[in-house]
Amino acid sequence: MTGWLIRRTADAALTALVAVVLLVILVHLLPGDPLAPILRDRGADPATAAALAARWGTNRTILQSLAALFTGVIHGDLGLSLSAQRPVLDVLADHLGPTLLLGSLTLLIDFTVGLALGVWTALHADLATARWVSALSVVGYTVPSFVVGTVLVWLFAVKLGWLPSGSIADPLLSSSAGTWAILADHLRHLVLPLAALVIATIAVPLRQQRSAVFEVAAQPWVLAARARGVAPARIAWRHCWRPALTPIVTLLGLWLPLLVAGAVFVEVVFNWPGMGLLLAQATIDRDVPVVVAGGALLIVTVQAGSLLADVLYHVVDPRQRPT
Amino acid sequence: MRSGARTGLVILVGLATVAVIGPWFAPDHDIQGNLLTGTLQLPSAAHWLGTDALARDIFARLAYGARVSLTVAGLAVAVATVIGVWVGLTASAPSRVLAGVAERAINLGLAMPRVIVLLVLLAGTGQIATGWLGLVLGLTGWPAIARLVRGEALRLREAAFVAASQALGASSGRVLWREILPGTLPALLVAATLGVADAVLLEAGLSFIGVGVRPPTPSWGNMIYEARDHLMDAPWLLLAPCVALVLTTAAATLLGESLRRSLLPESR
Amino acid sequence: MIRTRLIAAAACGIALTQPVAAQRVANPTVVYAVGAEPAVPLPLFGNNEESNEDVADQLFLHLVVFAPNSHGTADNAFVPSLARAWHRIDPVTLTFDIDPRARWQDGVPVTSRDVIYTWGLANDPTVGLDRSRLDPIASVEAVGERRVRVRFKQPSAEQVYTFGFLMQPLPAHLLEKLSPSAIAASDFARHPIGNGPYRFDHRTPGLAVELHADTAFFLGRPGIARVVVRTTTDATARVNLFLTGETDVLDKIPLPSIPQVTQRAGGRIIALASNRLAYLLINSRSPGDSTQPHPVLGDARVREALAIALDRTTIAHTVFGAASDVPDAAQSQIWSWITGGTIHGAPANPARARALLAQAGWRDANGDGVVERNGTPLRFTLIYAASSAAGNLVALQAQQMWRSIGAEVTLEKLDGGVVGNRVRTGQWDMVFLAANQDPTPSSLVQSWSCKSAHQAGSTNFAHWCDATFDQLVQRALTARDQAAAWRDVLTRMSSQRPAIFIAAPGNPIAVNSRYDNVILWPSHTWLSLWQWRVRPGAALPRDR
Repeated sequence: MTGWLIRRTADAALTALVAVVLLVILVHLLPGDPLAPILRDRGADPATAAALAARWGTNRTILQSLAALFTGVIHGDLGLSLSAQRPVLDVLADHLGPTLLLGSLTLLIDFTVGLALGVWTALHADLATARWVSALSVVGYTVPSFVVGTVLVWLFAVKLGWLPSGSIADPLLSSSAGTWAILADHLRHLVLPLAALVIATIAVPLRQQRSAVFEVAAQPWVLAARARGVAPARIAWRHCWRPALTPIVTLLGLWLPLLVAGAVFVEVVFNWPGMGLLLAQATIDRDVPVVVAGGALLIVTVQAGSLLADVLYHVVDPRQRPT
Repeated sequence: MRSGARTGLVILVGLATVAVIGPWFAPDHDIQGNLLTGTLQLPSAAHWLGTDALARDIFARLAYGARVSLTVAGLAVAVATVIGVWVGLTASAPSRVLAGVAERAINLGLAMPRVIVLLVLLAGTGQIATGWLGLVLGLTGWPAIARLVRGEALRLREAAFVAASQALGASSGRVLWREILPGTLPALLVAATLGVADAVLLEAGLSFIGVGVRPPTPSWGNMIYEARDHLMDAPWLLLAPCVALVLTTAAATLLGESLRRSLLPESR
Repeated sequence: MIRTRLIAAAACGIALTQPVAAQRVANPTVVYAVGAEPAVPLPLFGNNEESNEDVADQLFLHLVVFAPNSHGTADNAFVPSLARAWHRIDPVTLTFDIDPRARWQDGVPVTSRDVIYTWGLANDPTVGLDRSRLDPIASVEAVGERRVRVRFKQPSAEQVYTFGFLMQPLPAHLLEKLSPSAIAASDFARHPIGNGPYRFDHRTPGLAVELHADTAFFLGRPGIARVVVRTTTDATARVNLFLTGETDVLDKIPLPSIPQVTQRAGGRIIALASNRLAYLLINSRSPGDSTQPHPVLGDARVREALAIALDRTTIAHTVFGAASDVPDAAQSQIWSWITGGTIHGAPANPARARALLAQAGWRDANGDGVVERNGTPLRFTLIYAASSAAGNLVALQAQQMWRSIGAEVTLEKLDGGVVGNRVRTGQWDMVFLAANQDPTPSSLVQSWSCKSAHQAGSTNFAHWCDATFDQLVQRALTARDQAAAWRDVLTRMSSQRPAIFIAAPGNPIAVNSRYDNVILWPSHTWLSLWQWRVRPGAALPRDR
């Protein structure tokens, strides 16, 4: 197992390396002027354009960019963001926190409430309520998240005035306010974006789990247990839960990158200062250092997610020999 | 039991009918009305679903848009599923070399930021034909499906019935097609049915970076995108394409469920 | 419609109906939201980003600022700010005297050395400024501790603006040791030290920047003690912030939100003139070979027909709102003084457009609805950035209107970077652009002169060059009657149709009703924020 883990980790690192190289090549192929975030709609005489290109390294070849990236990683300096004119790492750090907060809470709810609802709707498939829950989750998934978000803001912030319309904290809150006041303020700002994200995503774990439980429920050992007269609830928790976890583990591995990628539309609607907003804007603005660094971070999380999923397969189902 | 499938089919046939013959009944989907007085009209006899910010008939745009969006979404899901299943099964194959290559392909595919890939592929060319758009979305969307299939297939390989079948001397190809592929279906169907909504919404998002369908051609995606500015003063602009999209996903889900039941009759 | 360049709400009589103690406004606050983080709120280094310029205006003084109710850019249209006075030595020489009371916020006096240092920075290519603005200036030198002498290359009526307003000195004593290219990323840029009415207090990344009044500010104690600039990318989210009362002012109000915002603002929406201009730029050269005329758009009659075929009033009002004007040349609302305070474009005339085309030999011989001449159909492509909702609405309406005169336009909605590339490399027929104009009409030379047509990297994307136009601009620079002279310039431009000017949009700004002495400026909106007051008795909890 240990040997396998080492091999698998080395393999993930190599894949990540190849992916980063591919990313740099892709970013080089992006159409558009790399100085756009600096120049905007201004002109630049040839001397200015040349000075800017040299300073920002926008005239590098692919090989030079790769070399700069790898020496940058070694020195812990990935250059400056073109639009923020600050170190890329600082910019990423500023945006990573809010996205991690929102993303981890969403994942937590999705994979607790969502999975529980999945089991419940599968075991009570005859109940009208269960069918409605299942169907509504699909509606939540299908309706664009910015619509859900905008409606939530309109209702709870603009009309009722119960919650703030967006952002992660109240900038007017005095820095001398107590810990509880600051925490309460963060919570108030979290409610609506979190609700919008959960509504938009919960259908996937819910329906995967529901479908997996259906399948497991038809297996001989479950039928046997039922024939023995074991209580349905006991069957559900003893026999259905664990085998049905495999697709959920895959899903968790797939969704882990969402923790750092952020949800663009929810972040836009709620002005949540996260990675989704940052990377989308950086892509549109051609802020290449941010796109590359953010993309590399994403690549690493994807590999980590896939590695984690493989380890979890083994935990969930020890018969699966790691290969 | 069969009512779900019937409802799903009825909805899909209805949408397809609207897509095919609706445009003949509806007025022109282009600017028709008076731009100063005819904009953002509520539904009426003349405009069944009202008009948008450019006085265009929403029902007409919805009907034309159905062609575009159903083609794009259908193609995208089909292509992604076919490639995803193929690569995913390969990645679970006993052959180390082949599985290794497939697994790395999946990880690479998942790691590439899709928006950047789509920008590189499409931005230079401007707008492309609907069919190609669906194909490109499918070609960039398969890794998630492949990963799901791989996970399921790995689990099934260890399952008792597969082991039994192998012990009985079934060829690995037969095991793959008769035992493993059907076993991945439940997870696959959920992913594919939700994928329809994904594709339409992705197409809406692409409007934002200028690689969607060419205006003035309507699609549900660009209708949703353009209606966003009017969510407050004319919410019915968003309601029409959103309801159409929800209906499509619901129909696909219902069909998927009954397909699963008929293919895996033992699960109720 | 008459538009005043400056709108100052008269200070209301203060009603002392409550005990003074209950009305104490200890911390009068203005909260406003901007679309992009003011990451580098410094003059020269703001990347042309409005939010940077807005915050820089609170921290760093201009030498001179606009005079109340002034028109044009003549010498008398400005009042002292950092410069106490200025003197005209001869038609090409000005001297500026820095106010001896002016101090950097670390206590060091502001001197000519700061001005000379900043002038040097502005000319450094690594700073990345669009140096065409500085082109009229020949030299800047210190002639005393607090006096600088500026020589211009030629006489012009705009000299006070060109140096006095554009110059916002930076502190030489704090920056000299840094290389110019390192300033934007320096600690100074993270926490600037200025000489204006506000001190930089702190920044919460991604959330807000907070400024506190400098109570010892030499031009008077600011009436607003605290300015909070919130970063909010999405326009709808900015509207929501205003509707929930989380912000106090709102500019760039999206058209669909105006009724709601008006309701919330208690009807207090100030119709500010805007410096924005939306137009369809025409490439009259052949795409791919700029020496040849464009096969379709090279013909001035075709351009004329396309322009008058459009009902621009309808387009302008549906896309930019009822406060928009429709100009025939590059004239935004801040230049309305050139045409007597109003902007009037020629009305639509599709019949005449059809006649013009017929006269030029364009006929629909094959009956496909598109006219041809010598086998070439009147077809071309209009490109616009996907991120521009306005571009989309303008393009769709124009496409429909041109169909009625037999012209067929293909719309290409493209990624913004691709639009830029296509335009710079000449691979285009027509493009939708929106620009912000300087207060000075001589800035026309940056995008419309023969000089800029031949200059690499200029904003004259169409390489438009008209000798008569250039002569008229030269004449206007020194003309006694500025309005009349610039009117001739604009008239010449409209007769040549280098572009189809769609709209000079207005700039409605909603302001919370608790402020008095609200002064807003057409460009540099919040320049006089420090002179606002919170009406006693109307204060909110955040003002106390």
